[in-house]
Amino acid sequence: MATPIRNVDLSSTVGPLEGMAGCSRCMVVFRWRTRVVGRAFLDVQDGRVDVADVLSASANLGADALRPWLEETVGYDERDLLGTPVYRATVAICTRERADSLDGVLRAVAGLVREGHEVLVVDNAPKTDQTRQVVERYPGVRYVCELTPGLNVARNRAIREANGDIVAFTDDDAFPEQGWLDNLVRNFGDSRVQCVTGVTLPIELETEAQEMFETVSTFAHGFRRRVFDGQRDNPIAVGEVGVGANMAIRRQVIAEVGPFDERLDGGMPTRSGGDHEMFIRLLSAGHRIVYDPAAVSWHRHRRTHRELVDTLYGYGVGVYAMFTGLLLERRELGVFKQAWLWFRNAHFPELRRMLLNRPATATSELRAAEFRGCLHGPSAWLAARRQRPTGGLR
Amino acid sequence: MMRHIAITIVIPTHNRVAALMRLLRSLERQLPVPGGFEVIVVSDGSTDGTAAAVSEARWSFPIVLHEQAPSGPAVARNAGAARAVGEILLFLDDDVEPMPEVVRAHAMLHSGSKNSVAIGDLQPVVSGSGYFGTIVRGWWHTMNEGPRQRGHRYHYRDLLTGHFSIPRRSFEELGGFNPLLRSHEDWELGYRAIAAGMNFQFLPDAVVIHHETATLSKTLNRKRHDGAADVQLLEWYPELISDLPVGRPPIRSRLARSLRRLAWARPVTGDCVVQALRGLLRICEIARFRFLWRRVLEKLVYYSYWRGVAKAAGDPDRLRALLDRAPRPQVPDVSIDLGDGIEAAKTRVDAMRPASARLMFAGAFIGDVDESGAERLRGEHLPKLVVERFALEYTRAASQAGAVPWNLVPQTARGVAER
Repeated sequence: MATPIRNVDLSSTVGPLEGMAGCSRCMVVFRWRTRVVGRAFLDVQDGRVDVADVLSASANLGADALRPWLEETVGYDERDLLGTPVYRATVAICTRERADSLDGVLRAVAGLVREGHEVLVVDNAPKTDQTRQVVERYPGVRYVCELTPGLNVARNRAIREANGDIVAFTDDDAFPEQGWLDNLVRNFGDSRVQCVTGVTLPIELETEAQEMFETVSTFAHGFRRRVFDGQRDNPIAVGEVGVGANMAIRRQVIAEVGPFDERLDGGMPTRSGGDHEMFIRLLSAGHRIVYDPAAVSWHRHRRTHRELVDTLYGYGVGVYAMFTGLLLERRELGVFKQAWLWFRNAHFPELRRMLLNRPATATSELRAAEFRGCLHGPSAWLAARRQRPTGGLR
Repeated sequence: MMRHIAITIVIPTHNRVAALMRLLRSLERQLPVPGGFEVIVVSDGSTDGTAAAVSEARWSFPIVLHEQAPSGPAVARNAGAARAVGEILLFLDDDVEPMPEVVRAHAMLHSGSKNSVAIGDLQPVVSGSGYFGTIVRGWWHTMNEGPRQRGHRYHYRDLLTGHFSIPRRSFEELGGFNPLLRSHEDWELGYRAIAAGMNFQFLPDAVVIHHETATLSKTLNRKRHDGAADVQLLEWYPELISDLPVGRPPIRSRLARSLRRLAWARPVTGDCVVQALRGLLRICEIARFRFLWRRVLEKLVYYSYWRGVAKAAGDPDRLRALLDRAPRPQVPDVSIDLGDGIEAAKTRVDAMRPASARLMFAGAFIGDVDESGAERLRGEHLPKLVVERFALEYTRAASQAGAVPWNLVPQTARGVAER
């Protein structure tokens, strides 16, 4: 059963939510004007949610929900620093054979060209010319073709091609909303900030697989701006930093820390982990990464159950492949702690359930897939290293 | 007749001829400054041929080389200032490299406002690699973080000798740097400048690259000087006690406590322990024990600081006597009610410029703002104070007063507001 998604602006009068016949719950995204301040899943009865229920949910969002109002009332934005240059950005979309979806993403970002930014589509190892055809419909949008398959190869190509000071990445299935780029870029006034991620919400929860994904592996990590500081925080703990589908990076820093590791992520046996490995490298070098939920993008999760299981399996592979690389090449013993924490919180409860013959829950199968992926991670990394010995690093 | 010159750049230097020449060459590339500038290099006991290198080269600007027996940067800067002709003194350390706009940016600021201290931007380039290089880079970045923020309340510690400018007359009226200090002489000058009501201003357009070559040994040595200087500052300015590390409660760690005891009673043993800890530091880095490494470094820095404190204070009783002079916290001068809107409150603060204030919302207490060594409050400080220090208190008081939009009032406060 589908879960409709509704936006509620708390700065104006709130009414009941209607027109959801046949649904048992809905996802409400609360806003203060354009800023997202929280979200909640509410029960739907007879196709509607009463005002009282909406408001009672808004009252339980916690203190962070008041922050945009407070900033507006007193006129303060912590991102606003003296001497911030006017940055020009490149929006980079790495895509492969998903012309329809790409069309939607371009519709969302093509307008940025008129604001002086650059929009760049990297077509990764295409089989058809559909991607090129879609891009041609958007004047001013640049098209480059990268023949070597691999998401991180495409990301590196985007960085080499980009003219902007900041390169903002979005996936071909993530749809940034108005103000997304501006909110990412505003955080770069702090010269120690080298990377900024935004909040990624589901654009639809139409199928059970999409709902499951949002429960098990959401991309949203709260609605408060957070600064991850390599001088202070554990650089290997990047689970909450953000995702590659919604991140911007200062182009200059690549010269210092190196490009994305081409042994990782989509198109390689390692399947994911390329974004997280970059976060780790940035933090290890003492830089800062900001998670700014003012930069909102809407992601279309995989629709079918098979794709969902496959995605989570891929996450398991990617994370453990990355751990393997960190251990073998950078002697980061800290990966053991991270691996243990993940196992204890996500996989151990399922394993115990299985061993004690307790009935499986809805998430059991997914966790099991993820765990299988973890076990395969180290060999995937070794296989990727055989293909590309240095991954473009050094 | 003395020629009119707008700016005198004072550069103290000690055995860093290569860095100094890089700095002087970058001054050749400055954008034209109305009135022009001169440079005074004060060689503080240099023995590496600094004098010869400076005088042999040809420079497009007037340059004076003054040599003195080694007596520290404070004395060197005063000596340079005493020979200055320019109306504005721009102090630069010998390890910086100014971008072409720097001198002009300082000149422009002072032509538009009198009695200002202009704080320039220092962008660190750290030569060291590894964990230590990373940490040092972070330290330097953090130093300018405050002044970059809008509504920053300037503090005596915002004055760093590496890159700042001040009208020569104000500098003379303040009496220049205190020659007794080997460290923190910039903070001390900053303290007097703030007390004299000078306006601090950050100049984001004046960027110098700071080539930092700090090693662990140099840093620890520097921390000793810091500790000694802070004892001096305590003696002169008891109101700063809670602001200086020496006056803050000790850090809670058994190792730190023992190290501090060693610094007082058995410095020779303490120095040996420090050598051992430095070995441990290396092992930690090889094994990638990042957090243990940080903890050990923190202890090393702590010990060095306290070693300096102990040496300067002589014995713990004397330090205790100094610390006992801390003034009691006082009720703020004025009370500012934010209930009439932020703009009204800002106007009131600007009219009064109080040193401290009690913030209220419609009669309810929010918090006290009191900071020794900080400039008097301005209206523009309020937004940052509210959001970064009193967010919870402000929203609580505002929702009780019914000033928060109903849709946002948290559950816990809704009952209260209804009544």
